[in-house]
Amino acid sequence: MNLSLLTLELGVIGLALALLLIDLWTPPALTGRLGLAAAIGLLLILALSWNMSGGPPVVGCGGMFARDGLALFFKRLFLAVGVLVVLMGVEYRERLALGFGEFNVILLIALAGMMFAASANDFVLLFVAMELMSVSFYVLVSFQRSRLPSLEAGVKYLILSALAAAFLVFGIALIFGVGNTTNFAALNAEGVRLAQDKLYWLGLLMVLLGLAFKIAAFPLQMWAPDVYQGAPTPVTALLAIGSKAAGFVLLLRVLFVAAPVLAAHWSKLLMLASAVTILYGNLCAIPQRNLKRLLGYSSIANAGYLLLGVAAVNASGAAAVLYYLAGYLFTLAAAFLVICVVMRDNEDIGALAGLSRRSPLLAGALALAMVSLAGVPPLAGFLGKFLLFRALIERGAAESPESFRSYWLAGVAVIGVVISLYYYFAVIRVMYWAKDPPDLSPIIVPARVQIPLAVCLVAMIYLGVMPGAVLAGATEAVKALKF
Amino acid sequence: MKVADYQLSQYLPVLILGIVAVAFAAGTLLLSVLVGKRGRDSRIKDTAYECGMLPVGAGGTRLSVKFYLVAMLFILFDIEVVFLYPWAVIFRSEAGREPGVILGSMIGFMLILFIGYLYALKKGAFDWKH
Amino acid sequence: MEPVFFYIFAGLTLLCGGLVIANPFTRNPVTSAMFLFLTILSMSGLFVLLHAFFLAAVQVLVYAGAVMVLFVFVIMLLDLKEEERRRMKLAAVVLGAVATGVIALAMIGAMRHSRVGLGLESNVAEGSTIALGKNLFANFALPFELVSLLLLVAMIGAVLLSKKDLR
Repeated sequence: MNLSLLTLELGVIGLALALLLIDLWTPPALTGRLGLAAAIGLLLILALSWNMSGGPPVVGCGGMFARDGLALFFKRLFLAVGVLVVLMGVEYRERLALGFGEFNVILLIALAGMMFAASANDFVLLFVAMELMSVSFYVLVSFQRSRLPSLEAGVKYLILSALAAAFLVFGIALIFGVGNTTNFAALNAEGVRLAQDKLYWLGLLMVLLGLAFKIAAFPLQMWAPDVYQGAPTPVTALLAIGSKAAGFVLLLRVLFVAAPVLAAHWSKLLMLASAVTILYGNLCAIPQRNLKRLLGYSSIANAGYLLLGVAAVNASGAAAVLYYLAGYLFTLAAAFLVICVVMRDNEDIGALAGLSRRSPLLAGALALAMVSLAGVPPLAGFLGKFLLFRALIERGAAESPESFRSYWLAGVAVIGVVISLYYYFAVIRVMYWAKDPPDLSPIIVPARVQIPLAVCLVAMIYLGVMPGAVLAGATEAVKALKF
Repeated sequence: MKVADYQLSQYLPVLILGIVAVAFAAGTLLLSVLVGKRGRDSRIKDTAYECGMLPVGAGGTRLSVKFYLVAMLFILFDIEVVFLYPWAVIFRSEAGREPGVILGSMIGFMLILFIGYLYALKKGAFDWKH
Repeated sequence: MEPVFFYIFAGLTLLCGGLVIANPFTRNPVTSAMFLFLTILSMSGLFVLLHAFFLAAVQVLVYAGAVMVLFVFVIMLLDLKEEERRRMKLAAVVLGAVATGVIALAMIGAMRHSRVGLGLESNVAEGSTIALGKNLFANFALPFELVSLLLLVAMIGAVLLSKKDLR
């Protein structure tokens, strides 16, 4: 086992274990400092990851662990999410009652699981990394023992995650039975012969079903609103960004590294799943009053948009998925940071009334996040959606340029975007133009929230107007996939 | 080791042992039902005895959550032991080739679980009195 | 002799598995736990038939020995009584039947169109502990280390979620 390949993950795991041990001997008053130390540690590891770029893709640890551009892109994404979520956790500290130190430790271990998933080149590593993420999330989602919605969300997540894992393992078993190996590269080498075996099709479909749970896409998307609403806000942020990104990198690797022959056949199926997911997420979000539940349905819709890029089955689609996820990261992080600070007891949208007068920074940040999620230029969300649509239209043009049928999915997605404008702007309207806000006391925003909020806002605008560098990085990263 | 060493017929005695054990237990129960005297059942006889008063409410004290914690910790350390079995069996032969790797991987595994043990110890999970 | 044992163990697994969730005689949770225990024992018999002796022993040791004990402890803890029979909604039954039917059809269809071997013996020459150990530490060393992290998270979670007053 080549340990030098695993430096980033070993750094995160070492940080987690060190935090666990140090936390056992620190007095409770100082545990907030440990959270900040964790954030600084993650920032250092993120800086270290910039040293690692370049060099040919390497596969090690028995062919399981792939270090290539795709893995590195996602690992940086996960480390960035980690920093932001740890800072959210420090802000959320009093509401976590017991065990703030353990909260950070389990968060870091979930992060390590995501980073291993980004590098998975084998079904066994895929499964173990996914289970590491899932078990960490079981504990994190039900962290607030005294709050009933948190426990209920934990139970729902546990049961559905176990169901999805059952499908995943059964699929992996079928694939192993047919192909006699679990390695992605080896499966791809036999791809043409295996693609004629219907049992292989069934196995891969079940694996996709298991992964659909992780990304909250049809048909296993029912858990998202309840779990997002019940979990503590930093955990919701990690679920919404980190877990979804991990699911998507696994989906990209399974479809385009292990079975590109089948992926080409299944473009229609992926398009159907994408369409249903977009419509379900957007339509069900309209009547929502709880902001976290609204963001849960919105994240289902966003999984649908991301599936557009996967269904396009071409390099620009995959690059668009990566770019969209990068923009999504900063957008949702900004939104959840504001929710952490403002919504202490009441998560209803009405609690945001008059926020523009209470704290212009927070109101502006949330407003920009909503605008970016809605896909309005010149923010990151618009450019991400534009790239996804462009990849889809490229595919339609490659298949049959004149027929309208190739572009039906783009139409459905546009309908989804129009519907989403309604509920995103409802949030903005409450903040700026509410009639009688009950509470107009000013909110003081601590520095540990101001700095990440500023970073997120700058990143949202940067990714919206200057796609050059990040898009080039994304296009370079997807060279690891085969189309 | 050849396939011939693993004839399934070697495991037939295990199956027979299992069947005999089940048959013995089931047989004695069945025998006592068939041959023994049947007591007179009545609903009042089946209720709990409360010094002559009729029992009010469901009986039974609430069980402490300590049992769950002990069982859970037992499972986790049992799985660690299960991983130790194949390691112990191959350690002698594999250690000759690359001495550090096999030992190192198991030491890493046990170190992480030892940190978990320290955590449970410090948090009083093994303290039965509290 | 082997096919007979396979059908016995497989039938027992399916029967006991069904009785765990759909016992027509009693709805006592402890009875369900006992049938789950029998299911695990039958499955370990199936493992023996596949020449995976270590896995069969581990199945009985860990799963039937420790996990089932945990189940029974939790049932005692929650003081679960016999549940009353609930009226089943027609829509739920129909949807469940349709979903199960679709999955079954997909599986049967896939199996008919592919060349699945009908031999019931395992084609693995060695299922012994030594072969398992060599394979585990040579090829699967990385997932093995990740499993230790998984156990650590489970430990922290169990202590966190069940202690009354954390020190």
